[in-house]
Amino acid sequence: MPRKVAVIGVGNTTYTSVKKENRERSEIAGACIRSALDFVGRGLSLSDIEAVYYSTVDGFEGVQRPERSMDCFGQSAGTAVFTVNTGGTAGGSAIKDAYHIVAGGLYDIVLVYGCCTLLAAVDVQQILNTASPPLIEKPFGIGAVHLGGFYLSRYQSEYGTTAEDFALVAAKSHKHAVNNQYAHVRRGYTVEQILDSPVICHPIRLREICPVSSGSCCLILASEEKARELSDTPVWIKAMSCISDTYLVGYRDFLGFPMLKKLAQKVYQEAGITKPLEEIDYAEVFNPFAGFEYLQYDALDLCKEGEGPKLVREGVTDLGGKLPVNLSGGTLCTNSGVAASVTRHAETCLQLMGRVEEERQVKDARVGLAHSWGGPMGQFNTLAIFERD
Amino acid sequence: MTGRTIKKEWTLDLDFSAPMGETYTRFVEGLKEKMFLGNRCGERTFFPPKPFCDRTLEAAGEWLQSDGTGTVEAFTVIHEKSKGVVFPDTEHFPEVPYILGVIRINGSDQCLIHFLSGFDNDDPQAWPEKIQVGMAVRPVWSEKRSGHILDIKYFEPCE
Repeated sequence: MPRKVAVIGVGNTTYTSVKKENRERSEIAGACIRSALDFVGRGLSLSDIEAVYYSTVDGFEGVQRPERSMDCFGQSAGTAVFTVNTGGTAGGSAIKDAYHIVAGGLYDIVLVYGCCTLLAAVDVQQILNTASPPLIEKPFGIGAVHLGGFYLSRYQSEYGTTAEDFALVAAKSHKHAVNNQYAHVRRGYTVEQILDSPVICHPIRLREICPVSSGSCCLILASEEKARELSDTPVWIKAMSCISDTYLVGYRDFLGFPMLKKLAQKVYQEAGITKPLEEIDYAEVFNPFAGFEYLQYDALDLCKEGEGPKLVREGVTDLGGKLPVNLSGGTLCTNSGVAASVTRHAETCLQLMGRVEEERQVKDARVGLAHSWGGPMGQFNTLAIFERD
Repeated sequence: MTGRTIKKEWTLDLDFSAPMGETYTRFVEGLKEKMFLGNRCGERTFFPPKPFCDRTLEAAGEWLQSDGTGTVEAFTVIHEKSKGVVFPDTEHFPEVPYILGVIRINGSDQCLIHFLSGFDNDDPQAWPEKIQVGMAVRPVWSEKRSGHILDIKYFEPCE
C-alpha cells in the first residue's frame, strides 16, 4: 500500500524580469529553499531534507548538468540530488517522482526545486530550435508561441471564438496577478488594453503571452507521519500522473488537448472525482498563452467543448465562482521556466492552506487541481489532485 | 545590498552530425525530383514516411508516392521573428509576417509543418480570414533542389 504524502512547505523568491535580475542562480535557489524551511518552521533545517529533485530543461541554463554547481541542496549533509527533465513540465514531473518515492517509503522529507531556467539564455528560441528534429521540423524555427498559435487558431476556427473572448480570459489572470506578491507582471491589463496590444502570432496578442521571468519556486513533501508532526495544514496528494504526446509537432492535429483529456480521466478516477466542476474548489492550469485556459477547461471536463468563454463570461472560474482558476495570474503573468510548473502546484496548495493574499483567497477550498504543460514543444502534461483535511 | 552585479557572457558553439537513416534519406532524395514520398506501416500511411509505426513498432512496408497535395489542419501567422536565431541551412527563410501551417499530405495519418503562402501580400491582416481548416494546398517547388525539406518553398492554395 503506498503511503500518504503531503505538501507541507512552499518556497518562493521575488519574481522579476530576467533583464533586471541581479542574483546569481544558486543565490536564488538558496533564498527559495530558506523560505520553504521557514514556511514549515518547527526547527526544520536543510539537513532534514533527505533528497532533492532538481527540475530543469536541456540547454536553458547554458551548462551541462546544472544541478552539479548548486551547493545549496545540503549535499554536505549527504542529501541525494536527482534531476528531472521533461522540459516545461519538469517541475510537475519532479513533484510526481518525489511523491512516488515518499509514497514508496524510501524517503520521508523531500524537496522539489523548480529552477529559474530562463535566467541565462540570451534568446530561448535558439535553444528551443535545437529541440526540433533536424531534418523535418528544425528549418521552420518553431517555438512555443507558434504551437500556441496552431492550437488557438484551430480552436477559433472550430468554435468561432472572438478576439474579445481571448482577451477576456487574459484579463482574468492580469486582474488577479495585481494581488499576488509573487507575480511578475502586475499591471492589471483590461480587455481593452489587451485588445490594443499587437498580434504576435495569430491569434495571440502580446498581452496574452507570458513574460520571461526570473525567480524560483520549491515544495517540501513529507510522509504522513512527518507531515502531521511538521504541519497543521498538510495538503495531501490524492492522485498525480503524467502523459506524453508526440515528439514531432506536426504529428498532432491541434484540435484541443486530447492527451490532457486522457490524463484527466485517469487522474479523476484515481482521486474519485466524477463531477470536476462541482467537486474541485480551486485550479491552476498552465497558461503561457491566455487562450490555453479554454482548451484546458474542455480537456478537464469543466464544460462542453468550446464553451470555455461562456464559463469566463459568467464568472464560473473567477473568484466567487464555482471553480476559480488561476487566481495567481497564472503562467501568463509569471513564467520563470520550469519554476512555473512547480508554481502551479504551490499556488493550489497555498489556496488550500488558506495562505494567499485575502483579495484572492478562495474561502474554504478543500480540493485543488494543478496542471503543467511543456516539453519543450508541449510534449508532456502533468496533473495533480490535492486535498486538505 | 547594492543590487550591483556583473554579467558573465558565454557561447556554446558545438558541432554535430547524425545519420538520418534509409527512410528519411530516400524521402529527401525524392524531393530533389519533385516527388513527395510516403509509406505504409501496417494500416496507417505516412507522408513524410516513417521507418516504423509509432503505435505498433511495425516496420515500414510499401513506398507510396504523391504530388504533395494536402489539406491545412491548423495555421498561425507570425508577426515577430525571434532575433537571435540563425537558420544555417535555409537560404530563403521568409521575413515577417509569414504563415506556418500544419498540413496533412495525401490523407496521411500524421501531419507536417511547412510554410503557407500565395495569399494577397498587400494585406497580411486579412490572411487569417482567407485560410480555412481543411482547405486544399499544393507544394511550390524551388528551382534549386538539394534534398532538403525546403526544396518545397511553401504550400499554396489549390484554388
